[in-house]
Order: sequence, then C-alpha cells, then structure tokens
Amino acid sequence: MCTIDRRHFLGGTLGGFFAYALRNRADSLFAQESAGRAKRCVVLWMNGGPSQMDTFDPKPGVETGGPTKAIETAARGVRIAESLPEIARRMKHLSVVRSIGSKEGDHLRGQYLFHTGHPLVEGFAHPAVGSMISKESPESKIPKYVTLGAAGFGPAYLGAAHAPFSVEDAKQALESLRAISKKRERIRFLRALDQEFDASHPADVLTSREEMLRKIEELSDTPFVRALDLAAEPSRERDRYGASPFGQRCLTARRLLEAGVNFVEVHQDGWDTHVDNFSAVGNQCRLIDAPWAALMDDLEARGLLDETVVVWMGEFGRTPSINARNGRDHYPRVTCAVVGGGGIAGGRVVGETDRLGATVMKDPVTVPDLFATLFSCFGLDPKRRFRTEFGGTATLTDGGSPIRALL
Amino acid sequence: MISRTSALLLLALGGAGASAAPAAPGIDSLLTEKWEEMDVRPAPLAGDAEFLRRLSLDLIGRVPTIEELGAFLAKPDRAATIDELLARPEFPRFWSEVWTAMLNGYAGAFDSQRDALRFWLEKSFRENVPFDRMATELIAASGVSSVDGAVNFILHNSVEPAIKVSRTFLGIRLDCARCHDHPFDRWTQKNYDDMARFFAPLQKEVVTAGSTRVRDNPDLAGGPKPRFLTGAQPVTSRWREDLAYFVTTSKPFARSFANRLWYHFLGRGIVDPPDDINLKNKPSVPRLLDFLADEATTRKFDVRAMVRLICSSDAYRRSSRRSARDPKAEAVFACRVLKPLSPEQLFDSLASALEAPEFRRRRDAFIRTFVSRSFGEDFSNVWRYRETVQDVMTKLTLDLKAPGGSLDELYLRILSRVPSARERDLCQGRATGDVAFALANSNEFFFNH
Amino acid sequence: MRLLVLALPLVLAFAPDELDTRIDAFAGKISPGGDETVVRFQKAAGTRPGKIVLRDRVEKAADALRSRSERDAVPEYFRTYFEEAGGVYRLRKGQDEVRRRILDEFIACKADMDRIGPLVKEVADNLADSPEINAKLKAYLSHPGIVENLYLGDLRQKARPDIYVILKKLGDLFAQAEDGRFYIPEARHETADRFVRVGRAVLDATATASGRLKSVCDDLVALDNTHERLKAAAPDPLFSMVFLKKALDNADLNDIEPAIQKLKEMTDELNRKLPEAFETTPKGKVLTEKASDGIAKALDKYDQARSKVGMLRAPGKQLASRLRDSDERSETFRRMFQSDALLALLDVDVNGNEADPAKYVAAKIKQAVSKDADGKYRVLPEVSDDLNRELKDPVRTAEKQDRAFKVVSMHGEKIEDKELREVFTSRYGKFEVERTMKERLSVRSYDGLQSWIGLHFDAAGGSYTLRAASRGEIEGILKEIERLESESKKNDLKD
Repeated sequence: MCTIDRRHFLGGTLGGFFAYALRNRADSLFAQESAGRAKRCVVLWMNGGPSQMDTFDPKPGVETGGPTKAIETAARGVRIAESLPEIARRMKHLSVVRSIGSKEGDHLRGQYLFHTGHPLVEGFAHPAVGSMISKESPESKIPKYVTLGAAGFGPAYLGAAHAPFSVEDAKQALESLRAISKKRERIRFLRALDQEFDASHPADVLTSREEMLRKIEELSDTPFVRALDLAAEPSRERDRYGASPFGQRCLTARRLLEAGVNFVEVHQDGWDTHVDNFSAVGNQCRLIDAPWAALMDDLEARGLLDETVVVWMGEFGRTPSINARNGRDHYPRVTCAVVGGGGIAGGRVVGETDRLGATVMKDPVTVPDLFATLFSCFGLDPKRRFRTEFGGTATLTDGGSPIRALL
Repeated sequence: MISRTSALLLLALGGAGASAAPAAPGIDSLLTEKWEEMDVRPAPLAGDAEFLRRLSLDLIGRVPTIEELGAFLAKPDRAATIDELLARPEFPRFWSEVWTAMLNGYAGAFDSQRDALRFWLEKSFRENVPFDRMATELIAASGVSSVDGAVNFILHNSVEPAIKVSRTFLGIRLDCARCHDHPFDRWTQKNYDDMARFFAPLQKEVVTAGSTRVRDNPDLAGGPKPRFLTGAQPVTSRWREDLAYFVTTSKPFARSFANRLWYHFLGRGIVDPPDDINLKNKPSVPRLLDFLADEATTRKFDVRAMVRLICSSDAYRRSSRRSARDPKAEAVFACRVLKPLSPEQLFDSLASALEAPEFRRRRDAFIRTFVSRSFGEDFSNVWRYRETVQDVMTKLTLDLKAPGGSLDELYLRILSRVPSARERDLCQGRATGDVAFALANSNEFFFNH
Repeated sequence: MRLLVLALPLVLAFAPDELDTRIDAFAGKISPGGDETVVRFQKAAGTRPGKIVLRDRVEKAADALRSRSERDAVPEYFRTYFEEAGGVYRLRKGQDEVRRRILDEFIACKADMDRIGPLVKEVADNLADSPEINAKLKAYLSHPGIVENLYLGDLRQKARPDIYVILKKLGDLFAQAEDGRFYIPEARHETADRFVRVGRAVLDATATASGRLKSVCDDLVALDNTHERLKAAAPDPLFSMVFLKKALDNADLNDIEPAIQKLKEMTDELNRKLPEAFETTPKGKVLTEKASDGIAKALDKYDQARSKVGMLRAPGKQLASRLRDSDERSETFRRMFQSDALLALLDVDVNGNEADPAKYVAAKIKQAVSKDADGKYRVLPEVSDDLNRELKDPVRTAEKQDRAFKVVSMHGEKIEDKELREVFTSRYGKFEVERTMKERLSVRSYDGLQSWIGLHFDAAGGSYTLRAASRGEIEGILKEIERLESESKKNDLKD
C-alpha cells in the first residue's frame, strides 16, 4: 500500500487548480486499487454512543482519562483499552478511526446519520447503508440486508425490495420461518386461490406480491433459515461466542455471511453511559470482546475476511470530561469507529485527538467519508447518482471521500 | 325458510353491473368525452358487493360486515349508504389517520405530537370543517402542542415547512429548488427562498408541562419580505396567516384538494403522484381536474359534499377487472387501479372479519410493525404499495382464529362475496382454518379493488 | 422592570374560530352613525381578509398588554401576597401556607448553597489572571450572586425534585390552565388512559401482594435483623413493588397488554411461592436459609427505593393537589401521584451524585479548570471556547441581575414579617419572584380584542361608536384589507 501522501506532495509543487484536479483523480486511482473486493459487510452497531476514551482511544494518566488503562495490541503503536484484550490480539486486521466528527448529539439523529450518511430531515428520507449495499449486490434468493436485534433503518427511495430483514429475536424469527415452512401447503393453497383474482386484475403490484410469496415459500429451504438456527452449530463453537445475546448475534451474523447475506447489522445496546461510565463500559467491553474476536477469527479462517468489511461504531462519542454521576455525556465532536476486512488495511490509526481527547487534531473524517471508504471497498463510486423520489438525484454519499490511509 | 347465507348468495349473484343514470353528470360526461377522444373502452361497472367493499374501506377504513353487506344487497341505495357511512364515528377517525400519515408520516410514530394532530383532524372531519379552513389552521397554527393539535403539523415539519406546505396543499414540489433551479419546471431557487421566508418568524419554546408552544414572533418579521408563488407578498405582520390566505385562495389549492380526494377514492390522482404537478407530470384529464376544482370552490371546500360527488359517480363504480394491463386506460380512469390496504385498514378489517378480541387490543403495536422502518419518510402518497418481504411474512404468521360458519359465510365475511364454482371445488374438504388463512392473506383481501 | 428570565411572548388569546365569532359579534354591534367609512369597515370585518387584518391588530394589542404585564411582574407578585399600609407590607389573610412553603424551601436551599459557596470561592479567589478567559471566569465567579445563579437553576430541581420533574417524566401528558392548575387535554386522553390502566394494575397488584405478605409474615419470629426488617416491610406496597417491578421493565406504552399480563402472572407467582420461603422451627416461623439471602437483598433495594420515593412524596402530593379536574381519570392520577409504588417507577435520579449539589458543582468545576503547579486555577484549553461563548459578557449580565435584585429588595425591605423580609431581601427572593411570575405569565391570556376595541370605540347601551381620533386607524385597516385582497388576486402561475 502506497503510504506517500500524494495530495500534499502534488499540492506543494503545482498548487491551485492542478492540485485539485490531480487530487480528485488520485481518489479514483486509489479506489480502483482495492475496487470490488468486498462482497459483504458486517456492522457491529453499538447503540447509545460508545465512549471512545474507554475503548479505542484511551488516554491513561490524563485528567479526563479516568481509570481506564491501555494495552498494547497486535498492531504496532496502537493501544486500546485494557478491557478488550481479545480484540487487541486481532488488531492487525482492524484499524481505528479516531477523528470522526459530527454535529448530531441526539440519539435518533446520530443513529440516522451513522446509518444513512445524511442528517435527518423529515420528509427527505435517505436509504440505510445496508439498503444501498443490497441494491448494489446481485439478485439473491435470500435477504441481502439483515439486522439482528433491532428493526434497522429502511430503504427510503430504493424501494421495498431493499428493506432490511429484521431479526429482533432469532428464536422467534426461526419459529416464524419454521411456521411458514409448515404452512407451505396452506401458502400453495393460498396462491391457487389467488389465481382467479390475479388473472382478472393484471397489475405490477400483484406480480410483486406473488414474487414475495414465492420467495418466502422458498426461503425455508435456503441456507438463510439454516443460518439462523444456532442449534446446528456444535456447542464448542457456540461457547466461543458465549451465551449473551450479542454473542449469539455475532455467531448468527457469521453464519448469515457464510450463507451469502450481503449486509448484516448486529445491534448491542447499553452504551449510553451517562452514569457510572467506567464500570458500565467495562461490562460492555467484556460482553463484546470475545464474540467479536471469535467473529474475526472465523471470518479469517473461512477465507471470508478479505471480502467482508467489518465496521464497529455507534452514533457519537462521549465527553472527555466526567460528569457528576461518574459518567460521560454525548460528544459527537469526537467519535471513534473501527474498520477492517474487505480490503481495508488493518493495524492502522487514522486521525488523532488532543491530549485530553476534546478535539480532533489530525485528519478529521466525516460520516460520509467513512461510508465512501466502505463503498470503495465494494468497488462503488461514492459520487454515483441515483434518482430519488423527491425529484432530484442523490449520490451514494453526502460528499464523502474515501479515507486513503485505509485503502 | 331460506338461510341467511342463501339469501345473501341470491342477492350477491343478482346485483352485478346495473347501470342507472349517473348521479354525477359532470364527472362522467367529462370522462366519456376523454375516452371517446382516446378511443378507450371503459370497463363495466362493478357489482353492488364490490361497491360496498370499496366504499366501506374508503370511508370507514374496513371491509363491510356480513350484516352490512346483506342490508346493502337487499336495498342497494348508494346515496343513502354514502350518507350513512359519513355519519358514523369511524369516518372521521379513519380519515384523521390517513391525513395524519400524509401530514406527519409515521416517524416517531405514536408520540404525543402525532396523537394531538390526529385528534384535531378527527374533530375537524367530524364537524365537517371546510377544507380551506383546515388548511389555514394547519399552516398558520399557533398554540401549545398538547392542546392545539393543528400546531403539530408545522412542528413536525419545522425544518422545511415551505416544501411540505407546498406539496400538501398546492401539489407542487419545491424540493429540488432547495439547492438549485428545478431541472424541468419553472421553480427556481429564488422561489424556494421566497417561500421559505414565510416561516422565518416561527418560534418554538418548551412550556412548563413539557409540550412545545409555537408562535410567530413579529419582531422576526423584518428583512426582505417573503413571496408566494403567485407573486403575492404579505401585508400584515402575521406572515403565516397571509400565506394561508394566499394558499387557500389560489387555483392550485382547489386543484390539489380535488386531486387528493380523487386519489383517495380512485387510487390514482388525476395528477399522479398527487403532490408533484410539473411540466412532465400533467393531469391525465385536465378538464376533469378543473371541473372538480371548480366544484370544490363553489361548494366552499365542503369535504362531505365532495365525497358525495365523487362516490356517486360512475367513475367510482368502474370495475377493476380486465384482461390485460392497460396503463393508458388506467390513467384516464376507464379501468380502476388496485389500492393496497393501509396498516390501519388491514387491522380493522381483520378484526371485523375474524372477530379476534385479543387481537383488538394490540392495534398500535400491529400498525407499528409495518411502519417502524419508515423513519423520516414522507407519506403524502399514502396509497403507494410499500410492502416488504417481512411484512408479508408477518401477515402469514398472524395468529388469527377463524370464526365458525359455512364456506359461504367465511367468504362473505372476509372477501364480501360468495365463492365461485372453481373456488368451491378447491376448498372441498379443507379445514376452515386453512380457508380463513388463505382468504385473509389473499391479494383480493389485501387490496382495495 | 422587565423580568430577566422571560419565556416567549404569549400566544393568541383565543382559538381562531372563537375570535372570528367575537369579531363578527362586535361588528354587528357597531353603530356607524351614517359614516361611510365605518359602514365599509363593518362589511369588511365579515370578510376573510378583513379578519386576517383585524387579527393582526388584536395580536398586537395582546402583545402590548403582555409587555405591560411583564413590566409589572414584580409589583404584581407582592400585591398578590401582601397588602400595603403606610409603607409596610403585611401578609394577606389566608397566605400562611404560602409563607410556610417559602420559608421551608428557603431554609433547605440555603443549606445547600452554604455548602457550594466555599467550593466556588476557592476557585474564584485562586484563578490566574491570564489568559483572558481566566479573568472572565474570575469575574463571573466573584459576583456576589454566583451561588444562587448556579444553584437555583437546574441544580435545585435535581437536589429537591419538584412537580416539574414528575411532569417531565410523563411526557407532555398534562397541560397547564390559566389558573396554574394542570389538566389532561382531550387529545391526550387516550394515552392518559393507558397510564391509568397500568397505574390501576400496579395499585391492585401491590395491594394484593402486600396483603398476602402481611398475613404470611404476621407470625414471623424476629430471629435477626433481616426478619425484623421483613416484618416491618411486609405490609408496605412499595416492598412488593421490588418483586413486581420486573414485569414493567421495557413496558411499551403503545402495547401495555403484555406488561399488564406479566404483572398479573408475577403477582400470582409471588403469592403461590411465598410459603416456600418459610419454614416452621421450634422457635416458630422463620425464613429458610435459601430465601434469607434473597430477602435481604430485596430489603436493601426496598430501602433504596424508600429514600428515593421519600424525595418524591412531597412533590407528588403537591401535584395531586394541583390537578384541576375530578373525573375518574384525574382521580386515578391523584391516587397514582400519592402512591409510593408508582412514584418508585418514575425514572428520576434523585439519589445519584448529581443530586448532591456540592458534588455536582465540584464535578462541574473539575470539567472546566485545573489547578496548576503554582496553585492557580486555569481554564482547560479544550473548554475555553465553549466557556467563552457561555459567559458572553459576565459584567453586563451581572449588572442586569443586580438591578433586578435591587428592585425585588426594595419591595422586600417593606415586609413586616422578619423571616419573610430576610427571604425577599436576599438574592434567593429575586429568583423566587421570577420563577413564580414566569410560570404565572406563561399561562396568562390577554384579551387583545377587548383592548383594541377599548382603544378605538366607545361603548354605550350595547353598541359601539368609533372615536373620532381613531378614524385613521380604521382607514389604515381598510387600506390593508384592500392590499391583501389585491395581493391574493395575483396569479403569476400562468395557468
């Protein structure tokens, strides 16, 4: 991977318009180098806003650092919080982006921004990144965008075909799917009865509906349903992920990715640590450490890591200053994410925050930039336009450019 | 002694296709004119049972009960039935739900703001407040969100109120013009800026008990004056009130109102989609749109009067059956299009047809299952087909109990008709549960045809 | 003197249709006396543009009334509670409750503020003089009223929850009427009914469970501390709540059936399993060893809940007494506000560190400054921009506050009652007056129409005649109406 920062080099010698033009071309040059490798993405969504200073941007010994200690990781020069030892050992596959900043300090607005890449404006819905990946992925018999543990954000103008398949509770979903599988006979009967009506009312919507029924009927035979059934996994495998809901979801995610699902989002609550931050974050880290590590190991062992982008993020970071309840409050100005796999270089750090963790000192990154990076792993041009329902066009990202240091 | 179902059977078979003199000469003669121009043959008129199903779904948000169906088939007095349904409390309730979705979407669904708006809309429809007055109140509302429901429209849409007002009440999309001049229509960025300024004095404040107070602050009504799309500029310091006046006295308002009602009943607007009239999206039957707009104006935007006008036309009775797709015919209402059921209609219809009392108490949760991913989406095209695979799956796994009774009763309850010979054959020997499942999940049930 | 801390100017006095009806009624009662202009005005008042222009005038009149009211806020406060005689203020009859409340709150707040004072002084006295932000902060913190400023805002609510804390937790279920009392607007009835259902279910469940607990623990032997505590706690519905609370975790207001069902099931389970926790020994009925631990933990939780609820009881009672209506729904809410079990469910953090004002202020100070090696405090560079913005112009702000304080003090000095005089000559008094008046004025409505009519018309024998001096006003209105009509006729849409 080329590490010379071309932009500065060229900018210094040629300056002005040429630097600008070359820089833009440089973007697409870089994009092509890792174009098209990724086919899948898994997002570990840390709901509530995980504290960056107690996870991936620790600052021990500093007034705002709290009792969080840092440990070395498998990536040279990269230190993370000591409560994530297993992930520390896998850091050569993961890079930390410490310099994301946004203006959205409200949970819902932050979640919307980090799921769609656009700020929330009522009446101007934007598709979730999962829906965008679904749209850009080839046709499939199984759902292409699945969320585990939450409803997920929708497809907006991309249409119902790219809506997420939400598995809020895997057991329940499996039961529903099994119930539907048991109802196959009834469904066939239903479609037989539908025939008269469909014949006398030819319409696109009916064709779509029949399509969906057919897909559902077939779904119970697909690897998708099998993927949801964790009982099929040997118990020692299940133990590696642990019995927590997050662990189970990570294992399910791995199985889904193996089955060919293009985008899986794993949801984990509990990061909104306004009170008792250090013990709460400690607990959260303990919860996610082993399952995430197991996921990374499995993806690597099964040869999927090169094609699967892994993203760990939440809706915003948290304040460096500690409040009166020993907690940290919302701080969108400094947000942290971890990315890896799918052609993204691991073991790196993008961006730097100041001594106390209050501002971004180097390489600020926006959410659109993060998304642009993701899209370029998939070989998608972040500046590509779609037609939206509100009469205009929209680009894949809201003006983002891929983070070259990661590609 | 004929059994009830046999009697219904006889009536159902008997009442199809009769075409009396149309009660709405304007609508139908204008359409006939258009069809002749285009050389389009209209579909026949729908039968009485189909008509009642349509009417019930459109006015009170659910399919007719077996008793209602029987009564109508015995005496198919369409005008009286329209009046009767308009008089029911379900009419304002259902319409308030449709309009709340159109105005405020489902985002943050079931929060207090939405409730208060819906409540206000229900009251307005119940009292048959003229629509221009409703529009005025929605655009110019001041007050406290938990008490003055109308305020919640502007509150919810407070980021881009000019765009929403324009879409909803004028049928004009200024969306593009936010950032640049419209690519193919006349609206420029200046138009957008001029309109947006009407809302500059808007102020919001959280009040002691937690709600929000909305008000216009005349101190902020300084600077360059806003300008309505017609060129009108405000005269008083209450800019939103002046705007509401300009909006409701403009021609696009009357047209948009007429078009939206038409869209609600016919499943397709004369301008479709209904909130986007532009140079590339013209009315399919311009004279009809003008006629309806004039009628609306003459009748002073009386909602019920317009409902009666549309529902008593032959156009509303047009069948949706045909042998092949014909978008040209659909566009000019020679043949009716299919409209999906909204989550509210689906719930109420299932609850009515299948009598599941347990089920009834969980209406909000049911509706939310279908709209939880629609965050930030605009629902002004409320009858667009939006079903996802998961929605269909949810329906397939609903725990519904089939009511007892014969096959015919089951069909009458759920589909408002008796089974055909082929269907009888197919259902031979099938458990009631199976048949109920099939009917409740059928396309015929899920669509308003 | 204008109230410093003022809310938005007031909303239109009456609902649009009501106002329109009144305008029509008024127009009908005008005697034009042959004046062409007045006749035209009468006609125009019946038209839509006429109403728009008139409403504009009415609102402006209401605004003027509101301004006057705001300027008169402080005198009004004292007029409400005191009567003046010979330059001395005496508390009005029937205001003893108010007096008690004010004094109690003053004493409690003063105790808190006395603890905060030294912390603030320590920093203020030792702040470095440069860079500029430090000097600014020093000026701000050295102001004599700084402790009141810091404490009497949000902090006081956290330390001593009031009715607004409870109201906030309910979402905007209640609205405030003009007399200051609270009611549930019609639009919120459906949601309120859901709360009521849950509330009733909880009240019933805890009544049943505590009844059962009481009877089972009746013959419990006081073996040790746990047993004694258990016996004491058994009849308290709040104690049963500790066991039943789980049923309501994650309860969704839009779908309360599952939660209510769960509550029933858990109550039944509790009733059934209760006997299993006890065994009969030669000494009598005691807890089994297995159950002892669990019961001890539950009792600890109970104690925590009691201390939290303890802080909410007074505001709960106050809120109950300030509800306006007496229908079944409101009555149930009254019961709910006075039920420990339900107050315990409110997600109010009254026992956390934030509730201790001294700790809170100390933490805020730590967030903003650090003590350097030379013993001086300096503002942390990272927060200096924010702090700069927040402090704006501390000197000006301080001056405004001092002026307000002086005004209130002037009234305060006239109070005969010694204790009350102390309150209203202290800075606390200024905040108390402002807070009360802010709330009172926020729900006051002003009859702009009446005011406007009064300015321009004479009323006699049920009819109105235009004053000669106001002809210009009417002509101006007519011109505006004409302009509005002509603007509305513009049709640049070309279709």
